[in-house]
Amino acid sequence: MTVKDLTKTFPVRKGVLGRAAAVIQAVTDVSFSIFPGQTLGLVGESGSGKSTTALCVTRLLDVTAGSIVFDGQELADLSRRNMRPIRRNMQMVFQDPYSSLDPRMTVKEIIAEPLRVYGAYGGGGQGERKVHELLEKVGMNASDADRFPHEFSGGQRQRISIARALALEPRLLVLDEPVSALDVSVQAQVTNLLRDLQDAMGLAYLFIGHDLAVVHHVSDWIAVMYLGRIVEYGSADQIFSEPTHPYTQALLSAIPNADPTKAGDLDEKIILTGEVPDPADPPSGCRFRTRCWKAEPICAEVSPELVDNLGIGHPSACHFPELRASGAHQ
Amino acid sequence: MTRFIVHRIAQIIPLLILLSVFIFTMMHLAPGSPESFYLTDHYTDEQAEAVREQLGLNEPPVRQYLTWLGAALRGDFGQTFTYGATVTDVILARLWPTVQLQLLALAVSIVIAVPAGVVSALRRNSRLDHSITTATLFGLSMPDFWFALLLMLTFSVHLGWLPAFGTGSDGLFAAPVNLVMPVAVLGLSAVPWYARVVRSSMLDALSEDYILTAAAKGLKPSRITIQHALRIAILPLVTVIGLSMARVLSGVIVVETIFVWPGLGQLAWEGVIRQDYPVILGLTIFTAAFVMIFSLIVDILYTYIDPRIRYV
Amino acid sequence: MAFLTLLIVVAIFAPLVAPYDPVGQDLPRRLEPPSREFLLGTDAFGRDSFSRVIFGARVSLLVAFATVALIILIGTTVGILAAYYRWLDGPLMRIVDLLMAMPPLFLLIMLVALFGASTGHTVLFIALSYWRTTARYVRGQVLSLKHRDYVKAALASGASDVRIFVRHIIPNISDGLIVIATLSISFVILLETALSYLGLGAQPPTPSWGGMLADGRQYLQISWWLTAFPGLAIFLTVMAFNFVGDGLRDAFDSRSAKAV
Repeated sequence: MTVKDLTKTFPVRKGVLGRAAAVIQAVTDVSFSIFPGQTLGLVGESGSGKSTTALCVTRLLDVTAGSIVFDGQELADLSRRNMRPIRRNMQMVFQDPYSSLDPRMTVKEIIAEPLRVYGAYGGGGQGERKVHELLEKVGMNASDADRFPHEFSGGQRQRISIARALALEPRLLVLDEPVSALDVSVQAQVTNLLRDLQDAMGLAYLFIGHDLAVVHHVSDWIAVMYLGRIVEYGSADQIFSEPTHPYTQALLSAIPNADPTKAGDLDEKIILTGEVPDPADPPSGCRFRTRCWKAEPICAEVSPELVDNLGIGHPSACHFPELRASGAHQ
Repeated sequence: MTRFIVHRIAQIIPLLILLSVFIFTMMHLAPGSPESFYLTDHYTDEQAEAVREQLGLNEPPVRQYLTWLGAALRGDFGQTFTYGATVTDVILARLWPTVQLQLLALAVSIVIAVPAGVVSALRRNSRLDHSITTATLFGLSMPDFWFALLLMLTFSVHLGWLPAFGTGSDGLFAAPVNLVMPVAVLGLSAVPWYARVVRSSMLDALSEDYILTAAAKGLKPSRITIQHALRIAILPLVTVIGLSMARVLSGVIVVETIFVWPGLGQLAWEGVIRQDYPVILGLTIFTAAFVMIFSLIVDILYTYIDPRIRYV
Repeated sequence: MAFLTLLIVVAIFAPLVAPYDPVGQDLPRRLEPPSREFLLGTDAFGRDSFSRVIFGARVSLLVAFATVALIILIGTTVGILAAYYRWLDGPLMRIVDLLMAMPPLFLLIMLVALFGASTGHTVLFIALSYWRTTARYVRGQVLSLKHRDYVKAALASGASDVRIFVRHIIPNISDGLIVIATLSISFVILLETALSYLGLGAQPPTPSWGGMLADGRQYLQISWWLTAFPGLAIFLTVMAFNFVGDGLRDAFDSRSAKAV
């Protein structure tokens, strides 16, 4: 999948007549690619537009501008009906394990739903076998099929969500903060499961998260988002060890260092001050400048391009990119 | 605030016009013909035609409607078919008896429902609470016209204490003995609704943090309940009363018909039965305007009861 | 509950249970007080009140069930459509506002008076005058449901709107709908009897509780039983439905509390 210059705006309605009083730029000119069998991690704080990006890519939201090419087909302007055959190959897992499963359905019905939608739930116990297989694939028991979601823990529910997403054997899974709501120990189990499934089935992932450490753990590529824009984009290791954008550096410094004796030059924490600006009224020029310690007058005037200014192999949208070796290795 | 009020009032007019279109359409779709009310059993086509002419029913419907609307916008709702007076006069004449009835009934229901609801909430799950809850269920299940008939049976027929019909007076105020039964029926029929609302909102209010804080500060329970909780608990009641005022006409239709009370409810009933189109239209517009203005007043009252609410 | 079951059984098998023909007149034996022969006395035409009360249950229950079914159908459909399709929301809610501005009973008697009184019209017009509350309730519920992730998940797996309504939305609002339906039944019975009392419901000689009360009113002076018993029948029936409705609501409340 290749996404180019994806933009999504929401009108803000005011008054009873619903005049569009302002426009929120939720996602601006976002471009990235996802390759088969690999994972692209999308990182950012809440409000950075990462979940909106996910909803646009799966066309649960309409796209304002830009292109989304999947399997050589343009999705950005497909109608809902024409989108249907494509959904088979592109499934989604949501953040909240509690609201993502219909409380009135059994696990079997939940997992079978995509199959039924595409008429792939075979009769004569065939569909049932398929559901059992899927459950086992995500590390659950076939006997769980007749139970209801509320009987399971958050991690188990997320496994059920994954089983549902895998039912149609898609090629791309969009994972919208799939582990953010889980306990840390359970997070690791689920991310490991995702990696195993990827290796076994050759799946491509778009993995969304706000915790850079978790995202790094599962991703081959990482794009860092801030206020609707990608500010740095590169291979997971490059982003992790050679961040050049001040925002990425700030995110990395927030990861607790597992080994305090190994002090790097990033050891002192970068504490971001101020709030994330109102997306309806973003700062001019570079959107990060209001919280950036390196901001200069030019940052308020010119929006920095996402380019590889330092010539180190990955682009960064900053007027003053700077290589700082990260101390945040495991 | 002023902007809010102006805005709300501006919304009322188009809605009223839309409503009149709806009623008008219904009348013209209906199979009945209002002129038959004027004609004896044996009438000629010419006679029928003359009556239609006189009532303005021969014009094309759209024309009829526009004529009506033009006059209505100037405050003239036309002549009634059957009362020999203008619609406005008839409605005004019937307004006061209904208002008297309704205000007294409202007073009765509040005086009974608020204490019942508060006590029920304060002594939650006590025997008293359970009996109040059961009593409200009884009240909700009581058909008001049957209740009216039973009262009549007891107090008018058997005991002969209270008159069964009319206002008993030609003056401004109805005779007290005539008011007792209609007010009792109307007032008591609203008690279960109000008491339930007061109980549940009082329970909510009592569990709010600042009430608990007040209790922690050592304020006496009676002061807490009255000063803090009731103030908040009364909000939903205002809404419900506002809504039931909107249903005012529904309630009085039955009661006024039974007690032959010359108010708006009886007028609505008569107008419908006699197919007096101008009366029906006029009453609809009148009550709808009343309903909308009332809900506006409720919204404004809110800001006084709960200063946290502000309209912009 | 037991009372309701008994009532429904009696209504269905009315011809077998009733000791006399509910419309059979016996003029010499008119206005007789309750006795062993005529349990609840006889009316002005010498018809057996007990048999008429039993047959009246048929009319009231039939009208109530049919009307409530129609109310739930219209209310749910409008509520779902308004909540789900934003472009429909405005127009549909304006219609609801329009109806809200009219006293429902006034609207109801106006429609009945204009189009004529019959059992069918009673059902149709009560439903038309009272579906709005259900529609508002459903709309509110669906508005919160449609942002649940499981609805998004169903969309993401390509499910059609109809499938989402039937499989995800309706099952999740059914608890509330059942309570509304039960409480509506009692409410519709009250309305239907009021309407019959006013002469705008089931037409004579069909026995109906409201109609019997209207007849009884003329003989209030001499025949108290004609007023007392049909009213009691209404009262008990309505209370039974209210009891069940309240019970269901409490049961569902504690269930949803447990699920959270």
